[in-house]
Amino acid sequence: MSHAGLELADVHKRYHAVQAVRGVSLTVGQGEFFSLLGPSGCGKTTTLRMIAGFAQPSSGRIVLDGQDITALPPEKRNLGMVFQNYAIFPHMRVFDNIAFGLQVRKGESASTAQKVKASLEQVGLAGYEDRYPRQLSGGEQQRVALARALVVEPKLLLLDEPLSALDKRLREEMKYWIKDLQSRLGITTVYVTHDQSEAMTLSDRIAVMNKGRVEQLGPPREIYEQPATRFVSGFIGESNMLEGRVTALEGQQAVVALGDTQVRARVLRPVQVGQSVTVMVRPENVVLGAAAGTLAWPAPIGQIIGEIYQGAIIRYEIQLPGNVKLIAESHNTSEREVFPVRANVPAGWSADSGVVLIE
Amino acid sequence: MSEERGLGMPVVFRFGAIVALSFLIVPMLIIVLAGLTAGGYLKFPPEGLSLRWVLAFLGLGPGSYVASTGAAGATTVFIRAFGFSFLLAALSTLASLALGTMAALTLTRHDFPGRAFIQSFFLSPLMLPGIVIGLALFIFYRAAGLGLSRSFTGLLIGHIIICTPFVIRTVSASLYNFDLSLEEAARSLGASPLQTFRQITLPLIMPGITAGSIFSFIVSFGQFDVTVFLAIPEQQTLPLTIFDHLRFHSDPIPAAAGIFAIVLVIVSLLVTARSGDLKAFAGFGKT
Ligand SMILES: Nc1ncnc2c1ncn2[C@@H]1O[C@H](COP(=O)(O)OP(=O)(O)OP(=O)(O)O)[C@@H](O)[C@H]1O
Ligand SMILES: [Mg+2]
Repeated sequence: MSHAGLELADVHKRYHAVQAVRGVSLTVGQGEFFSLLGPSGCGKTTTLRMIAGFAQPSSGRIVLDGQDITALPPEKRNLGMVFQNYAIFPHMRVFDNIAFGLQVRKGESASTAQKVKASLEQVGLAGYEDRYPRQLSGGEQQRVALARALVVEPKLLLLDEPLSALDKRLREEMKYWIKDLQSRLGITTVYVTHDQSEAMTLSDRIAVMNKGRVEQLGPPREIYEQPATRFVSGFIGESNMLEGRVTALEGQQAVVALGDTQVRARVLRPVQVGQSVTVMVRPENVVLGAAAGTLAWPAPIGQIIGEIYQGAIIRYEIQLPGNVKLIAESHNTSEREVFPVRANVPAGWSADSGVVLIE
Repeated sequence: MSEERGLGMPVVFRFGAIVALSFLIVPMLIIVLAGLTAGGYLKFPPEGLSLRWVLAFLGLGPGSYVASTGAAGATTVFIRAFGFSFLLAALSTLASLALGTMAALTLTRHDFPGRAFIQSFFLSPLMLPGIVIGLALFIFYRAAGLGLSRSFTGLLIGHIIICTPFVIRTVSASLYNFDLSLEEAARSLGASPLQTFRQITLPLIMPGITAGSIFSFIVSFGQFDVTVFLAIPEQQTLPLTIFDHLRFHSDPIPAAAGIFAIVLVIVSLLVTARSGDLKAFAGFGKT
């Protein structure tokens, strides 16, 4: 990264007995939309709060635009933050909420009113100046919170689960709206969420966190298609996790024995023959019947033991020899092959869409 | 707003509420009527109504008390006591506000060993009988030899000790459900800790502070048992003056003084009631 926006170097945070964050290192590029994704309690908020300056790292450094800000108080960092509950000042009108950042910096000036107006227009709330927060809907409060954070032209925008308080419809709508606004402004953004679909849709890159560590860092596609660990593949999307042992290595592929069944998968990290591993395959990559017959490796024959109709998608549950269960999903198109329950069919995947996981 | 909430309550409860209210209001009515008597004695029911004693209390009006006792301005004694109690209450309130707010902030915002103990220690003057506090201070002032004994400062300190817990209570109540992310938002927008306190925290805990000042003022103004021990030679408070007067006289002037005290309280409540702080004061609903 040539011009790094934000850098975290081996940041730790402990609260008494709790190690909330254990050595997070990452770099967020200028203008990048970066997400911290992980389950509850994995340290996302703590990491964000250290970036914002609300919590002090126990060790490690935080650098913004080349300046070490680890010891700077929040008001000196020039960051915009949107809180999960929006934290709109309840005793101030929308105008004063948005003007707050401008006013504490330089005092009220002629340009304040103009900037507030422009920023309200930007978030689609023109004419809301005189409303009080309690007179706003959740979505509107969220926009005010964003306008308030952005009007001071921060170097970095921090968002902590900003959509979690909204209902599903609005959440979808705001998701695209935020993405659009962010790319129009080109502002470097760190977004915290436990919702993988949000992170996938919005982010340029994602850091998947677990127990205070970053388990994997990369663009959404890489995280989804080449998960580094069992945790990541289990947390992001749905996956078949098949326990087995490596019996042979052929270039970038491994042959893995799942009991009596031999399957193939990609090797992303060094493994040895004989090693216990997990083969990860996404249900949508499992092919059945004739399609499985055309794979470059002999697909095992399994029995269809269940079928779930989901409209656009059909889910099959398949049993492979050696009591290995496999979920397959196929699109419910008119030309799809139909498999009756209890039928024996070849089931497999292209070797590249299976991934060998060690950890 | 006469909005009904919930499913209503048993009729007995309303009856109970009326009884409780009567116990609060009847003594006040009796004092007011006794102070408005046309007769010469403190008694109930009054012998006809007049403003005679109210005017006498103010040092106005004919047939005033001054003449009947011959004492130089016994009425001015009451006026001066009233003024002194007012000043004492105002100063105690200001000091308790400053101390109580800081204590409440520390107690609600910081976790430290022994916090629960310190919390109950700070609130203990609410539970201890005034006699005990008064006696303790009396002995302490004498022993400490700091010149606090029988001094205005000593008296003021006594009142501050009594009043501060009320401020701690009401301010803590408004701090408990205070959303800390509001302060963080302000900080990240560039506000210094002081700016954040003045522009965000203070306005939002104002209901607690107002409620605390009302409590504090009323408590100091009517304080008797602690004051007895700390009384100073130069000037007595209104409650002590009333008490002294009742011991040696039988005229209704203390009742007239009582009218003024009641009016003072009602006015201060009305003034603050408009801001909606009274609910917090009474502990009803959220602010
Ligand atoms: N102020 C604090 N004092 C003590 N422990 C804390 C504090 N803040 C966070 N923790 C602990 O640190 C860990 C990480 O918390 P954090 O809030 O960062 O999680 P999170 O990933 O944001 O989770 P969520 O999705 O539930 O918000 C948790 O175990 C939490 O209990
Ligand atoms: Mg969180």
